[in-house]
Amino acid sequence: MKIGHVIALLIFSGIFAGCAFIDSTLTLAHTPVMEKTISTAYPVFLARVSDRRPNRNRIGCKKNGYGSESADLFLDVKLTDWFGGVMNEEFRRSGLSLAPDNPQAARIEVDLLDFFVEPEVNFGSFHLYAIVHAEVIVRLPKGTTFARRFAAHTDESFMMVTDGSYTKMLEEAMMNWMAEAVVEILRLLQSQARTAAGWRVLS
Amino acid sequence: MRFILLAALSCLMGCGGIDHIPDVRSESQWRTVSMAATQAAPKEEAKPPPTEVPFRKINVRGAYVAVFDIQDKSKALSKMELESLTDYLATKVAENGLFHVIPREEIKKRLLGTKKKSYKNCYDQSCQIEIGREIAAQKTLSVNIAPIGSSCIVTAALYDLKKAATDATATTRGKCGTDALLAQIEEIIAKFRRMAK
Repeated sequence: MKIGHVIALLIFSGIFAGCAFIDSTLTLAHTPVMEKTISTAYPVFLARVSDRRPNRNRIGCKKNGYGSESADLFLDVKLTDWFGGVMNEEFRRSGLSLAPDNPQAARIEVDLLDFFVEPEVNFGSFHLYAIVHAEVIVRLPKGTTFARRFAAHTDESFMMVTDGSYTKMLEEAMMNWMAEAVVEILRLLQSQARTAAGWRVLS
Repeated sequence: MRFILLAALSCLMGCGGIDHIPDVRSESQWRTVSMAATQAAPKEEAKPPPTEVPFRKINVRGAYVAVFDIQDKSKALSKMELESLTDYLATKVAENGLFHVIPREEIKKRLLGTKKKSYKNCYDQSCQIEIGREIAAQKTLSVNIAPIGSSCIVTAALYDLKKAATDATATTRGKCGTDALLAQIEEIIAKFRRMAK
């Protein structure tokens, strides 16, 4: 191979490989998904959001054109605080009342298992995948405890990936997660309230 | 020909997979668990999370801001209501020194001077950047009302003209009535107020 060919290969590789060597700090905005769906304001209390992700330092990675990781993505605020703030906002919007001091309040806890965005490098394009995966634990005042894991995925192809692309994927995944998890928490609270009121659940 | 082959070769090198996204799905039902089965939270995470969405504090307090007309894609507001809401927005963001708001007449004058079709047409970012720079603003504030289903989403973007990048955005969602939109605008202002340091 002539030296000219080697140079050409390097130039082409440089162009098509893309350079993503700089870490980024993302600011995520959350568009609320819940509408007021219940008339009874069940008291709830989001007691904790714990970070049990395999890698707690980052929320995503960038890759070069060869598919190897080249930089990290971080969130500008503490992830558990942001997640908890968003969840409390969705609770309020759905009609639940946030009552930390009420002994009759359902105590809700969240274990964050995955929160990540990652590109897959394809021929001339990038396909971004994002996941929000967390376990919700609902402790009812009478002592019963329920747990359920919710996972939300998003994926989309981009010709050019910017920080905005990563942000968009995570925000959409978060909206999908909230739309599913908060609705199911509401259903659980409503069904438990019906049972407590003497109603039997028929299949 | 050789160059094309080399280009194709370099393209082929760019392929890979995903390593950190597990293929997990939501569980279909709630499980009843004993108290002991749930893991105890680490000490530092035992305190409750904030009840409001936390924001990164940004250095925008006291900035000279050009507030542009609110764009109402929902058509829920009349022309007069829209103008009043923009005036209200401009006044509220100037309260307690959050922003220095450049008089809207200045924007109007510039727009008429540049022979734009009308004052209302300066909704796109390129126009707002151009006008913002002409009136020596540091930032522009644009607010957009868009209908989604039966709801209206209000988005606001604070754009830094020097950095040529968006400083902060805020979004709310609610009903499309005049009162509900007014409440959403107030929520947007409250968000900016919490962000500003």
